[in-house]
Amino acid sequence: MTWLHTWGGLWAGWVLFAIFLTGTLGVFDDAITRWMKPERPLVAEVAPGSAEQRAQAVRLAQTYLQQAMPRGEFWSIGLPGESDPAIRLFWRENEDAKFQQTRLDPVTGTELDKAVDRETEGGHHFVHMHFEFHAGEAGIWMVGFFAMIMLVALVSGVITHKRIFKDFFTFRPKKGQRSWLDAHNVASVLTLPFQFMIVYTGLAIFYSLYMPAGIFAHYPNKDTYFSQLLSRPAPREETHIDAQVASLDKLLLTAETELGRRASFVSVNHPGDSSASVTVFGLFDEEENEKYLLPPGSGNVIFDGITGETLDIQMSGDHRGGEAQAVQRVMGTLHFARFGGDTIKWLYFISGLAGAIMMATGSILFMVKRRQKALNEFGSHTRRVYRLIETLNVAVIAGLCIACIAYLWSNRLIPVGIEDRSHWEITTFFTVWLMALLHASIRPVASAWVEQLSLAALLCLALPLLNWLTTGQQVLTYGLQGDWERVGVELTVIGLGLLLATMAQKARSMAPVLPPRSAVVATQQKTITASVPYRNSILMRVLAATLGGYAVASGLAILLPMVLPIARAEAVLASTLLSFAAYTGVIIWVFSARAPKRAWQGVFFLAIGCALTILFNATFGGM
Amino acid sequence: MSVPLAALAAFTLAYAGMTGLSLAMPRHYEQVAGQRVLPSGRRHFFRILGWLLLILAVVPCIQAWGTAVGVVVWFGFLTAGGLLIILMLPYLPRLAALAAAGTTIAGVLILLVT
Repeated sequence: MTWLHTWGGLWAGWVLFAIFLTGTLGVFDDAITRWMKPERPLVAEVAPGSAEQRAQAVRLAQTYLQQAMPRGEFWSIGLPGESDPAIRLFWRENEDAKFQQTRLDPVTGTELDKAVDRETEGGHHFVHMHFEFHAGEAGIWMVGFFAMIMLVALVSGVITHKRIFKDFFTFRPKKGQRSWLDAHNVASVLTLPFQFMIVYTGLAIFYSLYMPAGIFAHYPNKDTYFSQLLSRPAPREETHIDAQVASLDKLLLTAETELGRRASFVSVNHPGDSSASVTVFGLFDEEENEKYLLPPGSGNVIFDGITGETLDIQMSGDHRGGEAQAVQRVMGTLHFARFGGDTIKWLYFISGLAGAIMMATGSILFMVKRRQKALNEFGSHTRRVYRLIETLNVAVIAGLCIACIAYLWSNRLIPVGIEDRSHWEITTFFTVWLMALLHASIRPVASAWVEQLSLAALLCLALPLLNWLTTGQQVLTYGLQGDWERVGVELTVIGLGLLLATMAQKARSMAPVLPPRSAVVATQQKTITASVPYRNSILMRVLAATLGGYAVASGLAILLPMVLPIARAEAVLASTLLSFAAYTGVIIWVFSARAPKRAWQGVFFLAIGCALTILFNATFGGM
Repeated sequence: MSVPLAALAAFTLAYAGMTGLSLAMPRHYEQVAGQRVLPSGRRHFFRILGWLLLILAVVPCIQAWGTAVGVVVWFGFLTAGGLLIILMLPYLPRLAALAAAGTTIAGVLILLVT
């Protein structure tokens, strides 16, 4: 189990650190976005507007979109609201085409100058890094893969660090390796409930992507499954017959009457096609929703996009999909911190940082142990692999901090109004991160730590100055205007800068070094860990755990709905959510089995057992 | 109860409770009192007081956020309170204990007044 925790934690720790740090910053994505759009009025005071004004805005939007893309995959119209007084439009021709967006004046319908509102991904960049690394579905899969490793690392960590409860309050600074272990323990044990929650709910959000076996075994496709689960009409296939989209302003007014509240967003699927449908979303009331873990939601109405016929009305407070869906929604609320207001956002921020510190200290601890005495896990390559691990530690931990703060710098330095501006900000983020990797690989480890942490600290501490020089805005004026989101961003950045400066100072006094060459060379003979049979046995276990475990989990997701006495769609959802726990259990078992062969046998019998029961049920159960 | 006041009460009580639990362990008692011998009566006192304060911290959370959300918020404050005492103990052990006594009174007062 210690082996699993050490090595699984090491190889996954870098990616998990990136997921955790960006996710933690993403908690405040709206505040960061607000800071990154300094042209927006200091405090947005937009009158709610009348129904007629909203209808007018939708008319203007429809006229614009009809011109821009009469036919395509979707149109989305964000109505003027508190965070943005303009009409926000998004559209895309097809799945391979580029995502388009613009903003319109809500009264005249003319396109707003891009310089009026600087184009930026804002804080959403961190959210995207967090769940997909800007790599689309492949990225989501990668994050899911590492989330599973984290779940396993948490379970194995509780087993490995047996003394965590005895050492619950113990942090002994300035004691070398002991201090790193203390920091690792303390950061994990206090946030353990948070971490289990955040990983499991993260997997649950994308359950239909990660664990689709249950759905595909019981339904022809996901659309059918979701329409049955949520009792709503299934999305319609494109017919390729041209048809004119109905007047959206009328649909908007109908929807507002039905929902009994203002609308905030209109989306049109397949505009220009006879299969078009229109969804009007009610205004999301944050204060009303943050009181619940199972929020009532804002309600929505679905229309036939051509005839304007009402297809479905979901009122606020109308919960569909039974208890299983309620559980999945509560998990979503928990993961996105959509409850409890600012208090919970700050508590998540603290726990998230502690989680990132847990991963960072774990990775550093791995090398601290080996600086004293090389363990020769890689035979004659040991020294080179150690150097690689040290480099990655610096580049991922300190380097990512630099990249994140450099992203905020790029927001103030890249000229406003240029083409693809938001893209350039993200490019800056990745370029800086890559440069940090390069720097870490050519500099001595000790210097690399000090230099990168110092640079990150400097960039943080100088950010308010940069803001003042480029926009003339500063934390005092923000405070006087009562703009607490922007005040919060600047003060938090200063706080993090001080933290990074302290760490740079500590790194200077510690001066980590690689184990002396003699220590490695003296034991050139192959150690057990570097031998071929050992490596093969590890490979066998890893395969049994990942593939075998996934097969067993999928089997359960197919089998359980056959025997659970609840509605089929709900049973599929409940079983799929449970299958992640089963997957974790199988992985832990595979690594605690005495021999790889036994692990394979166990997984094999479990999978066969599932398959036979499924067959039996399918044959005699009247499936 | 208003949100800022509830947050203050929950945090002060969580911090005091966590401090109580740490003082029930000889290692941390020594950091504060200077002697490792922790009489069993005192150990029980700190342990019971600690748990009591931690449980008390759930009251303002439920009052301000309702049962479901309140319990989650409570967990968050337990983590925050624990982190603070852990960071205080090696550097300012006596101040940490004194502060805990102060926050106990502050937290209970807020609960009584509102």
